Order: sequence, then structure tokens, then C-alpha cells
Amino acid sequence: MTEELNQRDELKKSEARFRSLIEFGVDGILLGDMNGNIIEVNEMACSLIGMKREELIGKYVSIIPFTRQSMEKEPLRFDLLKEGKILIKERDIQRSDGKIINIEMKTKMMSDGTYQTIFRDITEKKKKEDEIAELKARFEYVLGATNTGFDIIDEDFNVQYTDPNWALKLGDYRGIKCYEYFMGRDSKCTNCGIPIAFEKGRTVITEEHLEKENRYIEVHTIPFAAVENKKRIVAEFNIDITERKNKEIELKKEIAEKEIAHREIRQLLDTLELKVQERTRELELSNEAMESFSYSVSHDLRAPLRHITGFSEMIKKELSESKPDQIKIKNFLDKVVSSSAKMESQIDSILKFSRTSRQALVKERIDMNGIVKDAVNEVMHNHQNDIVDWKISELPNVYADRNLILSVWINLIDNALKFTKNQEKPVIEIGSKEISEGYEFYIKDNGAGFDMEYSHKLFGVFQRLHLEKDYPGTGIGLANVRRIIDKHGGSIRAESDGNTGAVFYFSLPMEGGIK
Amino acid sequence: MNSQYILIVDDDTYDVELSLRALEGLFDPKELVVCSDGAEALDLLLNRGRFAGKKRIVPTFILADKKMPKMDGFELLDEIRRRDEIKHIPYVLFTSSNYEKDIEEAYQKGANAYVVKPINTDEYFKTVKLSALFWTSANRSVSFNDSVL
Repeated sequence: MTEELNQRDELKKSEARFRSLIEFGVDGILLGDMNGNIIEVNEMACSLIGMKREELIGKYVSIIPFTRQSMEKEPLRFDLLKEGKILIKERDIQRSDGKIINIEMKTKMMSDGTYQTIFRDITEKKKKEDEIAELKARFEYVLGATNTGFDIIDEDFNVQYTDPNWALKLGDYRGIKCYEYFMGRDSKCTNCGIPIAFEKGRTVITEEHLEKENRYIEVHTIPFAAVENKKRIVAEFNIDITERKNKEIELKKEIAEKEIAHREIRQLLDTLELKVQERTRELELSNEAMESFSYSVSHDLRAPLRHITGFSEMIKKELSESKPDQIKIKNFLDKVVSSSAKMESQIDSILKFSRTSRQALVKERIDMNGIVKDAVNEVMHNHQNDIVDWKISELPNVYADRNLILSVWINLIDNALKFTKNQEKPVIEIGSKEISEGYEFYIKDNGAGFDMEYSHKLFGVFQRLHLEKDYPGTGIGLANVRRIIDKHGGSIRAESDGNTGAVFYFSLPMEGGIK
Repeated sequence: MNSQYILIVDDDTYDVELSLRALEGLFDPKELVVCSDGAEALDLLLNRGRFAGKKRIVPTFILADKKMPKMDGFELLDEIRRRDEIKHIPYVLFTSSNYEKDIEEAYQKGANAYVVKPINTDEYFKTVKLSALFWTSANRSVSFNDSVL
């Protein structure tokens, strides 16, 4: 009896504990019978529903003022409860004070056929969720509108999130590495910002070209520290810079074009400068030549004239003798004739020299071998000397005036023949070698040579190093040669040991890329 | 009286012939020495080259052309004037050139006269004759004065 009393007492205590638990629970609790009628509610449930306990007890569950929309969306499903399922539903309740609250209802049917529902006010949660959803929508809208991509990638390059614009274009990203998904590559991008961002612990900005879409993006990679035991991640903002990049490319192209134009102008100016220098040199040369002419006209042409009159006078004098000496007269007459011939050849060479000085260069690519051959033929035509041993090497092409270079060779070859005329076995050697400025040509003979002490006079106008009676000539040939070489911007020199022959060297500079 | 020599330095053989003819009768042909350029003349004056070992000739007068192979009349003049043993020899430039510049240069270098070769034959003869006579006699008196001093 006492035990029974004790047991009842214990039961009462236990019920009170449960009731208290139910009454003071933070969640609303509602018990119903198998017909849907409400058996019991706690304070919180009443407060949530906005009705008193006595208004609810014994009433069918639809007494709760659910909004029509939420009932249409989520009707009561006793059928499913009877199958033993736990139903979790969100429904709206319009309370008598007009306020609509969101409720999450978790309902379970008990083994005795009654059921219990736990109500939880999720208005705040729902509001937050809505806000987040809207924020996300807005965020994604902004990304879309600014053509900015956003993604989250972990330290192993797995794509964890990408904004819907990317996803729309590139499909599902789950389980795909970022370089594969975005770039279509099978290994890490060479300028990947992710490891650098982790290493430096700050935002890294890189540039990428999306080949498929032909777009340029600027990737801002922002590193985040690892959370608990999860992988580290980066957030990436991919800003579209195609327009800027295209403008840059356009600008670079423009700059390159301008540079080309500038270089062309520079070249034109250089060419002009060279032309001015060339003209100046020509002018200087022709001034010098003018002085030489007037000097030689006054000096060298007077000599034969003096001889003509002189020996004519002597003839006259001899003829006035009672017994004129015929041999003497013939001798004087020969001198008059030779003086006239000399004068003629001097006038000729002066004219030739003056032409060379005035003539503008007509430069072209010329075959030196052919020119030398022509020169030898021309000179041999006058000399008829077939005992010369010619040693002519293969010569390079040059960029020069064909006619003038021909006359250079004619003069030099003629010279070599003239000074080897007393040799039993004349040898004339012609060749060339490459020098830094272009080519140097030479002609070597085994003739009389000259005294090096007077070599500076060799190329002067009307200068001679030998007596005319030994080696006749107008004294203008080498002056002419020097003039031609000068006009080409080259140089000329000669060497001799004074008895075993002479070597004449002349160089032609490289011009227009052709030596 | 010691024998006198007139040295003609000229590469133009016809001019040499005309000059020699002008002096015909005034001087003994043995007194007329011809060199064909300045280098040869200097060798003669200094008894060297092909004149080495030969009898030394000190001309009383030099008539030199200006333009000649190797050493010209101006250069020869320089060589003579800087050598004590021969610098006193009267030196006349005898040339075709009538360039002001040449005339000035000749006197600066110490030529005794600068004579332009006349085209006219009579004048040519007269010029050569007068020059030779004047400077040979002048040199004789200069030598005499020198010996007094």
C-alpha cells in the first residue's frame, strides 16, 4: 500500500517534471488525438498561435489560423503520419493581432495513435534566409552586370564555388580543377596566383587570356586561412579587362607603327645627311680640281707652246744662214711636231680630268672581274705586249660607278705596263682582300718602282716621279685615279722598294649593304 | 780666276736645250751643268749619290725650274738654304707659273729671283742670258766680300 502510494507519488512528481518541461520549453508543443483534435498545448504554443489554451483544447487542429496560401502549399497529411513518418513543414500563421509568423512544424505520430507537434518560430530565420538569398541574388546580379566572375578554389585547385554566369557557360564545376574548368588546361597555369597568394598572405593580381571566348581577365586572388581542419581556400574575382586590353594592344600597335614611321624618317634624314656630305665632298673636289686646271693651263700648257715658238724661231734663224743645216732643221721641226702632240694630249687629259670631277656618280652593283678583263683588253690593244704574265685572282662585286672604275683599272694597268716595259719577264698581279670598311684591291708589278720618299707626290695633279723621256705621260693619270676613288669615298696608296716593282692599293667602301 | 759653273735644274729637255742655246758663246759648255730634278741637283751639290767621289762642283749660280719630279724647285731651295756650305749660292726660280702665291713663296724661302719663262723666244733667250750674267758676277763680288770678312 505504502509502496503503491509511493509509486503514485513518484508518477505525480514525474508528470509534474514533464509538464514543467513542456510548459517552459522554448518550443511550442501540441498534442492531438488520432482524429486531429487537440488534446494539449503548452504556453509557448499558445503564444505562437496567438490563442488561449481553452480556445484550443478539444478543437480540431484547423482551428489554428494557418494562412490559406500555406495550407494550399503544405496541406495537413495525416495519411503520411499514419505511415509513421516524421513530417517537417513550414507554414504561416496569421494571428489575431494581424501579425504573420513563420512556423516550422515537426510532427510525429505516437504508437497509441496520438501525435505531437513541435512548433518553432522561424520568422527571424526565414527573414535572414530571405535576406541572404536576396543578397546572393544581388551579388550575382552585380557580378553578371559588371562581367565579373567570382569563384572559390581550394589549395588543391578544386573549384568549390563559381558564380552562375560561369556555371552557365562552363557547366558543372564540381570535382574539376580550376585550370581545367576555366582555362581548358591539363596542368596548373604558369602564372597562377593561388600559391603566391598563400605564400604572401595577401591579394595577388594576375592576368589571363580566355582563349575560348577571346577575353582577357584580371584575376584578384584573395587568400583565406584554413578554418579548423578544412583546406585553405582563395576567393577569386575575375574582372573582365578585354576592352582595356584591346585598347592597350591597339595602342601598342599604334606606337609600333609610329616607331616604324619615326625610323623611316630617321633613315631618310640619314640618307639626306649622307647625300649632303657626298655633295659637299664633290664640291670640295671640284673646287680643288678647278684650281688645278687653271694652274695647269697657265703652267703645263705654256711649256709646249714655248717649245713650238722656240724651235720655230731656231728654224727661222737656221734658214737665214747662208748654208742652212738640213739635219738641224729637221731636228727642230721634229721638236715642234712633238710639242704640238704633247699639247694635244695634255688638253685631252685635262678635259678628261675635268669631266671626272664634274661627273655625278652612277653607282650600281658591278662585276669587278668583267671590268678588269675589259680594262686589260683595252690597254693591251695599245701596247701589243704579249709577254706579260698576268696573275688575276677572283674579285668581289662592288657597288660603284662602272665607267669610272673601268678607267681606274685602265690607268693602273697602263701604268703597270709602262713601268715593266724594260723587264724581260713582266709580271702583273691583280687581287683583293676584305677589309672592315669594304674591299681593298691591288695591282702589283715587277717594274721600275718609285722612290717611297716622294710617294706623296704620286697622286698629285701634273706630278711625276720619273723623267718624261724615260716614262712618258701627262702626269695626270694617277691624279685622275685618286679623284675617282675619292669620289667613291675610298682611299688609294702605293708601295715600292724603289727597284723591284710597285704595288698600288685602292679601297672601295661598303655602301647600301653591298660591299 | 777659278772656273765658274752654272747649274741648270730642269726636267723639261726642250727648255734645257733652249736655255743652253741662250748661254752659247757666253760661257764655256763645260761650265754649264744640267740636272733633271732637285734630288739629282742636291746629290751633285753634296757630292753624293751618283756624284759621290767625283770632283766637287760649287756652282756660282743656280737656275731651277719649279715643277719637277721627286724634289721640286722650292724643296731644293729649302735644302740649299739650310746648308751652310751652299746656302750662299744665288738661286733663281725659272718657271712657267706666274701665280702670285708661288712668287711670294719663292721670295719667302729665300730665292734671289723669280723669273717667268717667256713664251716669246727672243725674250726667253734674253732672260736666261741676263740672269746668268748678273748672278754670276754678283756671286763673284759676294765671294770676294766674304773672303775679306
